[in-house]
Amino acid sequence: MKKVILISFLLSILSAQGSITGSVHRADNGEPLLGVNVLVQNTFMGTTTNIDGQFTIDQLNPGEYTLVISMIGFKKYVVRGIIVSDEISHIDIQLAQDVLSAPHVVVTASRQAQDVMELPVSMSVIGPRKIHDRAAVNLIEVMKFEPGISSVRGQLNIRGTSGYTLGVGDRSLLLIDGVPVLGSGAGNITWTMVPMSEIDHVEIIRSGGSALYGSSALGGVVNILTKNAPTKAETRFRFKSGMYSEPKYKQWQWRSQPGLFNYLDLTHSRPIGKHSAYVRFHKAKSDGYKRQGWTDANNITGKVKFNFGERYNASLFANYYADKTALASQWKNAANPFSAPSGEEDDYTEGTKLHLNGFFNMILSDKTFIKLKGSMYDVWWQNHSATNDNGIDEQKGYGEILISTTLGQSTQITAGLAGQTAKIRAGVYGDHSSLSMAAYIQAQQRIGKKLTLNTGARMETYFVDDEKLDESLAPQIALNFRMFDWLSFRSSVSSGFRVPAIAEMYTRSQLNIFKVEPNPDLIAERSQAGEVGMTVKLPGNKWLSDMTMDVVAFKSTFDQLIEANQNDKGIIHFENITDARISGLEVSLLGAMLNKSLLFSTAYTQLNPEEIDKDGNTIDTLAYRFRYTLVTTIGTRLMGVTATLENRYMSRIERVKLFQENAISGEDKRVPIHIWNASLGYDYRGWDFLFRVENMFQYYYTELERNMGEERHLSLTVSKKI
Amino acid sequence: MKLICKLTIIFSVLGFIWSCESPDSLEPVAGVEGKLFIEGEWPDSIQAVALIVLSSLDPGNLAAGLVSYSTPMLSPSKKSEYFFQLEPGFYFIAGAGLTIDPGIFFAKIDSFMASGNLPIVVLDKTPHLQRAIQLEDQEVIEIDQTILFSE
Repeated sequence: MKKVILISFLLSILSAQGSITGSVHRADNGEPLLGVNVLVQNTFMGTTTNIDGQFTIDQLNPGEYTLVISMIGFKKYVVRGIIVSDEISHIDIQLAQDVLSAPHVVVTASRQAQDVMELPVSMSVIGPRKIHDRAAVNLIEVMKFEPGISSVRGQLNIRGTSGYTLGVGDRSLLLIDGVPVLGSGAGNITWTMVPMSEIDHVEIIRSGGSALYGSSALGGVVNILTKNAPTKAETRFRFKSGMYSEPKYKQWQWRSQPGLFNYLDLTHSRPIGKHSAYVRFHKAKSDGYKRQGWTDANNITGKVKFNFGERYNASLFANYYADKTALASQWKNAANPFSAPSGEEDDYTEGTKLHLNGFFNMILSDKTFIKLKGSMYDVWWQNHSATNDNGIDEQKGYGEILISTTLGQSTQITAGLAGQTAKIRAGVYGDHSSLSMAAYIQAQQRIGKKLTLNTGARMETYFVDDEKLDESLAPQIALNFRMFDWLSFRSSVSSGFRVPAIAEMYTRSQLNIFKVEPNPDLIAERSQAGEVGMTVKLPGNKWLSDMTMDVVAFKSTFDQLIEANQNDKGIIHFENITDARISGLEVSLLGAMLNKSLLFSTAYTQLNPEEIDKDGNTIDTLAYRFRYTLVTTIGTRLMGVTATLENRYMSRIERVKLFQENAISGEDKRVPIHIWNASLGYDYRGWDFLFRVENMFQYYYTELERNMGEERHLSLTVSKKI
Repeated sequence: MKLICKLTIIFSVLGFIWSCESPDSLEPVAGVEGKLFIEGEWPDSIQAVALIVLSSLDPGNLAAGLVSYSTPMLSPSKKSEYFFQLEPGFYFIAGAGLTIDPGIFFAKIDSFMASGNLPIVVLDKTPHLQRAIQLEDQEVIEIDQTILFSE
């Protein structure tokens, strides 16, 4: 990395406080870089570079500072020993490109900016390149290539925590810009409303996150950080179009024309005085790969970033989503796995979701800042089924105040209060309300130069229909030991909890022979989790370079785990019936070969998911968990063409619960999953083309009983920035 | 030299992929599918109706020959569809009435099978009852069945 540092001292304008100014350019061609993050380490002061690559940080108290300069796609740069007195310090930086293109600074693990090598917990970071190279329209499709992450029919599993719970009661928390977006009734995540084209990066905490984020973060946290509008006007569009292959077996073919899908993203952003804003329109229309697989959705997203000077800024994000989607509970039968059961051919759901969130940051001093957050979530959903019409109407409000302060040079304290209220009216649940209130505190302390200690706890109280349901305390202690710049160790122990969703407590429904009855006596499930991990970064040589290896062993135990269970009368209840233990190992490796022209990443996950009795003896395997997962990606750029190849292997699910295997005939449609994807990209004068084929060898499998996995599909994505 | 190395790696990887077979992928199955109709009024003693597949026909010991059963049709339904996935071979298909709640039947099927006492009765007034079929590999036979309840 070529670098030039010039520090000069000029006369100060302010008598009591100083400033740091500077500029950031690309190391390879000298062009100024726009939007580079410049943070003053151990303070809350920071800024981003303007269109000329320049920045200014004012009102710094006299002292010695360290600047951390980072931008996705470039290597992080640290400038130590900048003396600020009553003068202006000026630095010039040249950033070298990073072939792995992953963010170096994250914010979710401790609600503060942290170097990825100093994280006390396991975290995956998905940069924009991983999303772009897959032309992804659903975030789960990208997350599946991270260690420890899988899904069963769209239900996210981090380290096998959720399994499949009929689409309700997710044990992972979704945040957009740090604000929760879970639906309160079913407690599930609507992945299709995530604005994929506006994601800056995604941070995923793979160990429990209840100590900071409360209920639903039992299994982990997915924080989607959306882009800020750039400081110059621009219009971007992305159009993805493609088709599904016909099933390769004639017996399974069910339509005369290939199924098509089209996705359009159109975004315009511009500065408005000191502020900036963007608006995005998204249209999704797909015939689906099976008879009841179609969807038609519209999505409008907007974000305004307010800049009220050096110390105050705010953001307002709005997301409106409307869709009609086919409803299919299962295939017609094993001989017709792409057809729908008779009577369900015209079933569909329609709904709208409106999500508003915003925050207001106040930097009180270079050591203290306050953040106010708020969000509103409105959901309307109607089921149009020949056998079972019902709907949901719910509103949720969320508010939070967070204060963070630095004590001395080594300790940062973050504390906050949060509250959430929800009202729900649903055909299958009835009318209910819920309220939660929480207080949390987190301390991050540097012990010497190499050790970082994180301690924290969250206390939360829940009310359902004005009656107190539960009260939980979730403490956490975590340690990072950065032995060298290239080697760090981490270890954490935490408790977690999740209160039951309204749907789990109050659903009353019947589908064919399956009766679901309410269980208002459900109590919160609790977990104790621990992990030990290590991250190694190796510089390598021209043949093998930029290597990062991460190894972590983990173990979680769960008390009173809520599962849908059938009693001896054949009636399904959600019950606190299972104690469970999930232990495992994650190993991930990424790097570059052949003078950085060939990139690779691989992640192996091994789980041991056990249902246990009170004495800790194994009773059975937990349902809907993959014991072994191996994902591999390899990519290269050759004569201007980018080529990527991906493989995903998941071992056969060992136990299911929804449709029990036929005990007599041994009928069993569960197999391991072997999926190959490939893509070719080419950038022609600013027009970006990406051809992609997924499930290229037409591998047929089920993740959930009686639901065929996605058929091979080919797509062409064209994107352009104007 | 670098280009040769790249091409070697890429073609090695592609060759490895093409050599990878996927023996586990699901394939078409053999079985029997069709529609099940009910004629007449449901008797109070029958809570659900299913078709059962038997490898041997012994009404006195159904459990011994039971191979598979269809998803039960609940009283008072008149029509449903069924499918049995079966290995190639020779079978009998019969209409059967469940004398208990089908939910309980499936919750306790293992204990019923172990005891040999199934809470089902063969509906021997049914036309086409006890049909014998011969199934070949990946063959799906379509048979519509009607169960007649006495007026």
